[in-house]
Amino acid sequence: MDKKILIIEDDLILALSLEMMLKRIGCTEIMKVETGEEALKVSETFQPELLLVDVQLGTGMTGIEAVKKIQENSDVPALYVTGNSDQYFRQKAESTNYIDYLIKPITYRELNEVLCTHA
Amino acid sequence: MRERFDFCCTDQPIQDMIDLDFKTDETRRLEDLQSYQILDSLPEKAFDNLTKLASEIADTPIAMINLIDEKRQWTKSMVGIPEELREAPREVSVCQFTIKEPDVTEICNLKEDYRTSHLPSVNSEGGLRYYFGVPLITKNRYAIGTLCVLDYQETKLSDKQIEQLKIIANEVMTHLELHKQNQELQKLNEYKLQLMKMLSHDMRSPLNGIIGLSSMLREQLEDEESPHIDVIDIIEQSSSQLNQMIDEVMNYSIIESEGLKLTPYNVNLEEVVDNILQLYRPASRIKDIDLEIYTEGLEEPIWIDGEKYEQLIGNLLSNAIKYTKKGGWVKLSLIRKSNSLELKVIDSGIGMSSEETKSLLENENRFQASKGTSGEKSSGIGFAIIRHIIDLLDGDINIESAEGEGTTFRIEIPV
Repeated sequence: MDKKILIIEDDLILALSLEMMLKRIGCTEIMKVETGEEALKVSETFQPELLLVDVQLGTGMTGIEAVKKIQENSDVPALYVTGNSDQYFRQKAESTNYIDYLIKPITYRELNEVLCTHA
Repeated sequence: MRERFDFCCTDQPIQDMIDLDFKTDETRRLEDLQSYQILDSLPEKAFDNLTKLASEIADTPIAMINLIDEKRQWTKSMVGIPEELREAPREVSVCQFTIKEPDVTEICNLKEDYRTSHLPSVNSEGGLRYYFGVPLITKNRYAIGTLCVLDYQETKLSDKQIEQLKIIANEVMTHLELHKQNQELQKLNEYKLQLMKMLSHDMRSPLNGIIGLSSMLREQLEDEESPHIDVIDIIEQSSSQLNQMIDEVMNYSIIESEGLKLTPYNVNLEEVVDNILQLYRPASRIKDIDLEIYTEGLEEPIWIDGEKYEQLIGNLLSNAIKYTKKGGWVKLSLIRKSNSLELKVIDSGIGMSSEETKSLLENENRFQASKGTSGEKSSGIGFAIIRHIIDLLDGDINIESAEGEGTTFRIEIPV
């Protein structure tokens, strides 16, 4: 499975671990950014096929806000990563185009399953 | 020489030592007063009881606990004085004189005393005549206020009455000290919880890395049919335990600091159960535990605090998995009845003796540390959280357990 993926994750360890997992799954084109603002900038040139987004980002806009903005100009779907599965998050996420969400800690098997299901 | 600071009815000395360490530096005195954070606080029964007692002992219509601020007299508690007089300018108060002295101040006729004769409360018709005040002296030896009694007619307190009023003033001071200590403890507790929250939050992130990457390494080793797969087993097991503990500490600190609030909304409990399963399937898979779910009547959304239910069910499941041996089973059943929800978590685990069950239910706030079947450590925080939530939801908990046979947690919550 090879997809162009943009990882929006402020936790560097998690971002790195997601990147390694994606590579093993077969993705060759992966880009990592730490903020929603950066994501907006690079998504135009990078043209990702999937956004792998942490819902809570340390600074600036939240992951969901970033996805909303990016999806104004593109139909790229998102896969959310979140620390909890609370209803509030799900309500917010409903207004965006997303394939699923994964609850931290994320295992290889879970990520692989979700990506294969939605490949 | 012993001295009594009264101005008309002298003679008998009070059987008490004059406070030689008494300090009058006004700036420091005000700082000391501020440190009690008592000004403009709400009425408190403990203080009100003491003023009532003072008025009864002195047999006067008025008794007050006054604090003297930079510019005003603020009354913490009063008997015989209307609410609008809780605050008065410092210059019209009689107690402003009492705090200048280390001992009691008695003014038998306020109208005749040069310091008080001009005050409006004294000057008016039917005005105040008698005053007796004991300074409230702090540990640092500053008088921050008074306990005083007042009368509309001239009177005289006996030595016994004076002695008793001094004891009450002491009590007032003890309450103020406790008040202060309480606030300091509260602050300390908040700080501790803040630290717990911060630490658990910060520990999560590297742990997420360990869990994620070891799961990836497992795939690789499985592909290679590597003999080192059991090393990964142990890494995964220990990191998932650590993760659970961090979760517990985090949840506990959130519950403790935010208090127990219910925020209900329309909840689809089936979805909640699905979420929980997503979280606990990996742990049960590792221990090869069969996780069985049964739900009934959950099609309609229910107006409840879904997150509290998620925490409750999650903690019960994690508990059951922890105490069930490899190859065992855990059953979760959630049934909506006519006016309640019945939640059962049954496991084929190691069980508890009747003493253990009893002590788990009885020891309200003690964490009962114990060990799970794979050596998982339990801080006991999980059960403290379970109990917190059940209390909040007004539910009942019932535990049936037999050693070596398993445990059933049955919880009924009104909805």
